[in-house]
Amino acid sequence: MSQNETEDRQRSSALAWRLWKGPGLTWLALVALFAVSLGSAYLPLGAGNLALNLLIAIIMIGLLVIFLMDLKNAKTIIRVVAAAGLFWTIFMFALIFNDYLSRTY
Amino acid sequence: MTETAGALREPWPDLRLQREGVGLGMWIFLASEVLFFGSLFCGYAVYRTFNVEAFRIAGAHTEIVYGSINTVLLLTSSLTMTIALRAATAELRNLTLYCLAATAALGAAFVLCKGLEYHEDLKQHLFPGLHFPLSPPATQMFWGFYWIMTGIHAVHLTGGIVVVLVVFTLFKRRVIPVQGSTMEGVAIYWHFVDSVWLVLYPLLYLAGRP
Amino acid sequence: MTDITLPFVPPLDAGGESYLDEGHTILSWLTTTDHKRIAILYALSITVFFFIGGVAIGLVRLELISPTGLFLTSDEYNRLFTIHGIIMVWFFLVPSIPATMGNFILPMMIGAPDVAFPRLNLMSWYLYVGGAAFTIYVLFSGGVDTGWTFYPPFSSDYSHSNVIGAAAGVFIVGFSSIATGVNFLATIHMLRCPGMTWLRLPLFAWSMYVVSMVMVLATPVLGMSLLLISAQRLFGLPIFDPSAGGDPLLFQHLFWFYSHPAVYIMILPAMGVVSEVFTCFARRRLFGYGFMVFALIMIGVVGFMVWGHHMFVAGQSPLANLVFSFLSFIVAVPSAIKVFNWTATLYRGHIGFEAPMIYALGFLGLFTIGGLTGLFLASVPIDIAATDSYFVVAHFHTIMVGGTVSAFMAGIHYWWPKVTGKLYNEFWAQFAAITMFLGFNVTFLPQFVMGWLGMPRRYHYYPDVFQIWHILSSGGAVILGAAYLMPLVYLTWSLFYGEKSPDNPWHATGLEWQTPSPPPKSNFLRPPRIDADPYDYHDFGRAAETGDESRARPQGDAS
Repeated sequence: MSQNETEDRQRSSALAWRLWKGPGLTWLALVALFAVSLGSAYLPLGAGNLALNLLIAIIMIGLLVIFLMDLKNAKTIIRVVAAAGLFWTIFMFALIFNDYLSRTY
Repeated sequence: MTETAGALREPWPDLRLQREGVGLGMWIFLASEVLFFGSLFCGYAVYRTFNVEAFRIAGAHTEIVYGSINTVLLLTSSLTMTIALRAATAELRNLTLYCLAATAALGAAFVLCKGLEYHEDLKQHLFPGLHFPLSPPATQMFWGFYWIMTGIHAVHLTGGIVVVLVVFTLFKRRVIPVQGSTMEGVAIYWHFVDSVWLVLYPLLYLAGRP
Repeated sequence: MTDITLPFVPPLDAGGESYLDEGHTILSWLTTTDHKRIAILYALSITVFFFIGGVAIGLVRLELISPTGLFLTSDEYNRLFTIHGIIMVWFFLVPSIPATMGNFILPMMIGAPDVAFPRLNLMSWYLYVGGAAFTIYVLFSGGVDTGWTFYPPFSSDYSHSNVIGAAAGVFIVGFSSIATGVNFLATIHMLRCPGMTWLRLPLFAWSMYVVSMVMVLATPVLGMSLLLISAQRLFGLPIFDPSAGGDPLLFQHLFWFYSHPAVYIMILPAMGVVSEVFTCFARRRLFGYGFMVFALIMIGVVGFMVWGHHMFVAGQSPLANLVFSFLSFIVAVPSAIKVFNWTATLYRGHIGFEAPMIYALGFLGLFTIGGLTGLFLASVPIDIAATDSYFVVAHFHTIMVGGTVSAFMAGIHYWWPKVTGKLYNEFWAQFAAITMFLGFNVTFLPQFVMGWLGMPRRYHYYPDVFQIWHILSSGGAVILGAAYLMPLVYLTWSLFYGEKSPDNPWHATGLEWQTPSPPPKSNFLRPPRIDADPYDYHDFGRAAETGDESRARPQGDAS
């Protein structure tokens, strides 16, 4: 009985390790990137601050979506849906900024 | 396996397809949410482009400590939510329940922090209107967006916490089995709310720091 | 896409019980998750709102008989045309075909037992009801006077009407749209029956797919625009306030980002219905199936990039005007492709003039006119003169009423035997269809003329020179109103006294016809399977011969 229990516990802790490993590494990367973003905000980079922060945000979201939301293993249609949301937002930004940036008043 | 049978719903022929369907449905809903927040961010972007200095001045007054703590809380909650989903798929009921509870707790901690932060902001009268302390006038625009962006995010997060608690209760009382399709949808939504914060944070908290 | 085999469990009593027999209490209807019952719940709700919106504009048209008004104050006048717009757009046109016919017919058309998320479907309807409740509350609390477009700064700062209530109602009903869109997209992706490949989907199913995509991607932006207006109005946040660096035009950008695709939400399902009706009543295959699908998708996608044509005189940059004008011309091309292909579908057809066909033919002509006048408005120089005139009003009513409402009527009549198991009275239906067409033209052709002559829209008082056109238009509205009342009468009559319909009275192809009328709760008595292209009315290369019974391959249990 107790040997089965030990085996069960070993198997389940191996399983637990497999469960936690990928997401755990992703979490570490996310926190590290967050720290970089926060730290760099205090450097006098001018317009570069915003650019760097947004770039890091995009990378963080990318990591979250690919590894925590498992988009890397998802079916094509899911990736198309995710891309569609992104592209439509880009259309919106592009056409609205097209107006604002070309105004001379 | 009779537990699993309780998870199957009309009109799905089998649980695998149902899980895929729920995942697809939730991602499609997410696309709509991306446009919801996207349009808000677009407004912010337009105004920031034309009021760089005012936004810099206004942004220096957000509570960076609260904001940063909140970021770490949410990132960790995404971790626990991922584990909850993986545990559910592996039919590890106890682990699923622990991780769901942890996620809800981290979310609640975020909301608590936010409440304290809002209190601080209001003490400094950082709400557009009569007693607004900053100038030029476009600083009010930044702060208008601050309240709306964080407010709508908080509403979404609170909704998520409620759903997580409901799902936790349904699992605990064995109304539905953990290996059903519910966890798919909940996890996807939760990660989205976290992603929104990851954009919000640099826009609201990291402007005007140096 | 992989074929899905649905392991079918035959219902316990495989004979006699239709979905209408599954429970007769009101509670069974209010707690149903059956897509067919939900469709009927929607149909009843939108009909009520159609008539409320109709009464509102009836009062307006009555008032406009005199250049100096008859019985309304200007404030009341503003509130009436506003509520007409809000109700007709969001509580009638946007849900009309998708929520009724999409809900009822789409799953059957693709061989599915229900939509992907039946409980979400019911919640969609309750969201509609919730939004509707806010609108009723707005009606009773004096209405709203901003126009259906809610432009700031009037809506956010100066209006003394229930802007927040109206915005809340529209916000809530928007979620109904999004939920329906999510449901239909998942349904079409995952629940098609074996053999129902993407390129065998009937055009109505494709139109539901594209319209769902548009609803999901466009509606949230409307929600945000209304939320921002409400935030400015309720909390004083200066989102569109120039004194804080704000721009009222930002609202217009966000509002029209949704509201232009919204008009495609209104027309795409109509196009889907019309494709079904033309093929059936001309006994012809659809001409250019591939191009028709392509056109639907092009309209859905390019339709998102043209919204600035509503803002040519609002203060956009000239470059933005140019870009939006160009894209607006482009978006007309797929619509034109569809009109040509429908016409080609009719060519050498064995044409019947039952009511659905009369409505569809009316659609074809009126949609063309409406679309062409849209091209006028897409040209910036012309639009600068015609904007905010009755020309625009006539343009969009021609498409929405002449187009979408005609197609809605076509679909109602076409699928009436399927839904109710009864036949409507063909003579009265044809009479109503023709009356509607004539009434429509008498109402709106004068509006094109007076718009061109300079009559502004939304004006309560107007120069005497336009009076004759207003009188003609109001007279036409009376005819139109009578024509809308007729179906209420004869369709209701058919429910109680109508002849019982055979399962497939039109001998149509299409999976929804290969099952009893009215259908059983599980839609199909035997597992459906597709092995032919849609619209299989005749061999390729040969139109139906005169007098031939056209083929409709029996695949189910239709009698």
